[in-house]
Order: sequence, then C-alpha cells, then structure tokens
Amino acid sequence: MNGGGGSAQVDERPVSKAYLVAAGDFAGTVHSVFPTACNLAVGDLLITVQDAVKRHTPTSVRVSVDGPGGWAPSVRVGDRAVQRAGVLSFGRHALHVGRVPVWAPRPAAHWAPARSSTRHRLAQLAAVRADHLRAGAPTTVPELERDARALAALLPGTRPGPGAAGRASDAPVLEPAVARLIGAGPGLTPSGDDVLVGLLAALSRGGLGCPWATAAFDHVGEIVSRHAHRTTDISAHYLRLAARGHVGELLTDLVDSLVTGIPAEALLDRVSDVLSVGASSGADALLGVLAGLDAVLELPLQPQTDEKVA
Amino acid sequence: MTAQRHHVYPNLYKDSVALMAISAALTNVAGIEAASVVMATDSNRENLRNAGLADDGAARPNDLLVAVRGDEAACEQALELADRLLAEQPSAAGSSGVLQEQPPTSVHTAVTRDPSVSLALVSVPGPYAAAEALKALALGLDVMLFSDNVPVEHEVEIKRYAAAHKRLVMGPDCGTALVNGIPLGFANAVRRGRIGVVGASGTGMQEITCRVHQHGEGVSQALGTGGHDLSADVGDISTLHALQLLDEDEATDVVVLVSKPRRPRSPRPSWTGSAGSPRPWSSSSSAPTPRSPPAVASIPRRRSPTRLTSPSACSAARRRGPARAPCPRPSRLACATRRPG
Repeated sequence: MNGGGGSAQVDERPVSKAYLVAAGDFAGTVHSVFPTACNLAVGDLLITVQDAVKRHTPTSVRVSVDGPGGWAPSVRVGDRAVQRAGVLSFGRHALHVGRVPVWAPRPAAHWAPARSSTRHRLAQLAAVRADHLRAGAPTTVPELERDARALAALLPGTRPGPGAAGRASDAPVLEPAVARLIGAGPGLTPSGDDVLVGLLAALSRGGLGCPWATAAFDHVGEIVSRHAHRTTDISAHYLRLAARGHVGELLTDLVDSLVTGIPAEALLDRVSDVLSVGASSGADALLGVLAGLDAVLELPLQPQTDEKVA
Repeated sequence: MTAQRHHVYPNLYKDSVALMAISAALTNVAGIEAASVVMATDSNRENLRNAGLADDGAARPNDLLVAVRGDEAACEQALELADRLLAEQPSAAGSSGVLQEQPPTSVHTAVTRDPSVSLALVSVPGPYAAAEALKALALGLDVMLFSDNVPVEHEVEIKRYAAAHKRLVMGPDCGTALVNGIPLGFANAVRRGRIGVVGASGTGMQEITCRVHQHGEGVSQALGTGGHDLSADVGDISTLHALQLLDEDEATDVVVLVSKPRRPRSPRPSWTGSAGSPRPWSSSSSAPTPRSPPAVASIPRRRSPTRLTSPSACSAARRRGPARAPCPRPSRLACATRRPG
C-alpha cells in the first residue's frame, strides 16, 4: 500500500481550496497517497490535498511549506479524514482551511475571435502537442488520437432536442465512441479518460450560447457518467466532475484563452502548463480540448455569437 | 521459449510518471519482448490480450496489472523488479540515480555550457557586485543585481556600460522581478497578462502585481530598477530602458511605473515611447499616500523583451512561497551566486 508514516511538516499551511470542497463539517477516509498529494474519499467526491505548486482541480486543497521538497502527505491509506470547524484533519495533518481563498472558475465566455483565426490557433497547438510527444514525452496508445477525432467528428451530428440530452437517435452512434475511450491507455488516469475530460471541458466552456454544443456536452456527459465505473476511482471522479461541467484550473484557463483570444505567447504558456501535467495526462487532455473545440467550430452558433465568429 | 507472466496489485495507486518509469524499466530487462504496467480497466485488459500479454480475469479497474512477455527467466526477473520498484517509498524528487553535472561556478562557465542563457542573477557582497555584473554584461547578458550596498559610483558605471550595449540592469538591491512568468528573487504568484510594471520600489511592485492579479488582470513583465535609479546621480538609466522594453513588448498593453517618492527637485524622467512622439504615462509613488491607486497609461508596443526563463529557476520558485506562477516555456537563465575569489 502507499503511504508514509513520517511526521507532518510543522510549517505547512493551506493557501487555497477549490469551490467544490465543502465548507461545512464532513468525514471520510484517505483513499490514496502520492509523493506530494493525497486523496480523501468524502461522500462521492475525492478531495485532493496537494502541494501548492499544483494548480487546482475542482476539489483540491493547496498546501504550502517553507523550504525545499514541497508538501508531502504524512498519512496512510484508510486513515480517517475529518473536517470540523474549518480544520481539515487526516493522518498527522491539521489544516486550517476555513478562511483560505477559494478558487472558482469564472463564468464561461462567448467566442471573441474569428473562426478562421481560432482554427489556425488550434492547428498551432496541435503542432505544439506533436512536438511535445516527439521530444520524448511518453506517447499514449496509438489509437487514441484516431478514436478521439472519430468521437469529435460525430458531435456536429448531435442535435439539440426538447430534452437536455439531445435526440435519442444519437445515442447508438455516440455511445461506442465514448465507451471505447473510457479506461483506455496507460497512467493512473488512463489516457482515454484524460481525452474525455479535455473534450468535455471544450464543450462545456467553449460552446456557450450554442444549443448544439450544449446538446453534445449533455449527451457525451451522460454516456461518460454511465460508463465511469469502468475505470479507476480517481479517473472516474474526474470524469464525473467533467460530465457536470467541472474541470480544473489549467483546462479552464486553456479553453477560456482560446475562446476569448489571448496573445499567442500567453496561450503557449498555458499550453505548456497543461502539457506538464503527469506523464501523458496533459497531452491527452489537450488532445481532447483540441478535438472538442474543432467540433464546436463546426456547429452553428446562436445569432449573437455568430456575428462575432462569422 | 516465450512465456507470459503477470502480477496484480490490488488497489495500488502510483502516479502516472512512476508507472511510465516502471514500464520502461521492465521493457529494458534483457529477454523481455513486451511489458505493460497499467490500471486493470476493461479497455486495458483487452489491449493486453490483443498485444499477446497475459490478462487476469479477476483484476478490477483499481488494481495495478503488471504483464510481461519474454523468456522464462527474464519474466521472473522483470516481475521481481516491478515488485521492488512498486514497493519503493514515494519520492517527491523523483530521483533517477543519474550523476549530476557540477553546477557552473561562474557566469562565463554557465554561458559556455549554454549559449542561449540571456540573463545573470548576481548575488555577491556589494563591493564585488559591479565586477560580476560587468562580466555578465560583457558576455551579452542582462543582469539582475540582487546585491545591496553597491557603491553608487559602481552602479553608475554598470548602468552606463549596460546602456551603451543595450542591456538591462535590474538593481542593485533588486529583490523582486517577474520576467516572462519567472519569479526572480521574492515574487508573488500572479497570472500572466497584459500589464507591465517597472519598479524602483520592490514593495510597491509587489503590491501592484498582487492588486493586478486580484482585479482579474495579469502581469506581462515586472522589471525592477533598483531604488537609486531615479536619483540624479544615476539618471533613470534602467527605468528608461525597462520602459522601452515594455513599449516594444507585444504582450504588454498597459505599463505601471512605481517608485519611492522622488526627491523634491529631482526632474521627472523623460520618456517618449517608440514612435518618437511623447506618449501618455504616469507614475505612482508607493510610500506616503495611503490608498493612492497605481497610475497606469496605455503604451504602444512592438516586440517581446529579452527571453529570460529557466526551468530550474521556475522549479526553485515553485518551492518558495504559498503560491506560484505558472511554469513558462523553456529558455535559459544563469544564476551566479558564488563569492568572488
């Protein structure tokens, strides 16, 4: 089992928490332990307590320590985790999280740049990702890109309907394409799952005002939620969050950057941040974002947005 | 004879980087044809079967599945290796056992090793700082002069040399800067954006960058100049150069200049912008006026300032404070912190 039994760092202090971390009292158990992070199972969520170096997930708490090495959890899998009166306690840690700043994503924005320039940007980012993989980053399963693009190609066929999840007739087409990705590939969060999280981020934050994109998001999200049990607990947690429109800080920033059109250099910085996540998780999520936004650009937009992107 | 072996580790979580490293280690065992270390999801188990690797019908998605194919002895050896590697305590440093190269002990050595280095951070006792700074400038580098107690005549000499060679000197006694997203000295974790800051006051610069962040904007660059730069002796050399760099920076739309109060009869710096015609800009004194907002002015810009970034500096910065700036794109920085000798 994972875990360490050393003493907690006395100078540790929480610096921020994410918006889905409950403010009230709760109890759970330590689910998993890593060198600079651990997951606490609380209800149907995993709260990730992590070194402040890492950016927020929707359910994370960032902890800083003075000196080298970063924050390291001193806890064992199965230990009890409790939050009472603003103090989150687990293992040897007692973090005063009651009054720390809360990270929450801004509301999604409407498309600002022209479609042609966004397509150009997406192509540039695909090239950056390819360079990253060529430069020695671990490659994912060979079929991943093919499967991701195949799924994205189906999305423009999803039509908004009277229900939230689009037409029922879309289900047989999309379901196998989504299911094929779930749990597929290497990593603690398998590559296919990371792709889906990126794709859902693109659809949820990149399709504001577009009923077709909303329908595609609802539809893919519903399928993802139904199949999430087929992957690891940790990956399923992120998939379920993404299916409800909750993604981490890095993906939020990246999609918003493309939607609002920030300078190229700043955009590349954000891509670089995403690519640095995990062994291949960042590159896989980026693939999902690019495939998802490519699909969104093929969808008809609402009149007020259409004027801006035409 | 080719054999297939596997081992299941129930409910074992290792981060992706560790899994990749273990998978690569197993593949490198002599006699191993294929190896895989994956979470035992349905998809991965199917892929293992398709790849001619062993599967385990009892494995569940939260289990770690190690599968190898090769000669009998190699398979045993690889599974033992996997056992050993997976049992190792997690290490935040991710030690690879590779011998480390001796760090450079002079700016010259650093530049020789990596010619793309473009900035030197000098932190030596004040009386010796000018010598190190001039060496760095002579090598074509910009300089952040962390050292304090630098005689003013030294400062003037350094900055006149830098101006003549179109190089930037931040300091002396420059304790904070943000260059291409890299925090230098003590800096706050603020998002990158379109607001550039030039500061002859480190505390003021930190206050402004934090306020910019809190109000939802971001900082393109924050360039320190040293507290004496606006004095009559020094003559605003670094301030004017920093303004010029921000003027030419594509990513900067707005510039903030902050300083301690100027001496009453000290003339205001004169800066006309890139087009040669006077540009509107205004300054903010950081000390005496409570709640006075930082003054800002739109300034046109043409190109990015010098590229000064470093993965190692970023890594160091990540360890420093309660929050951090995002890691920028790779480039180079040299830190010369040795004592003269």
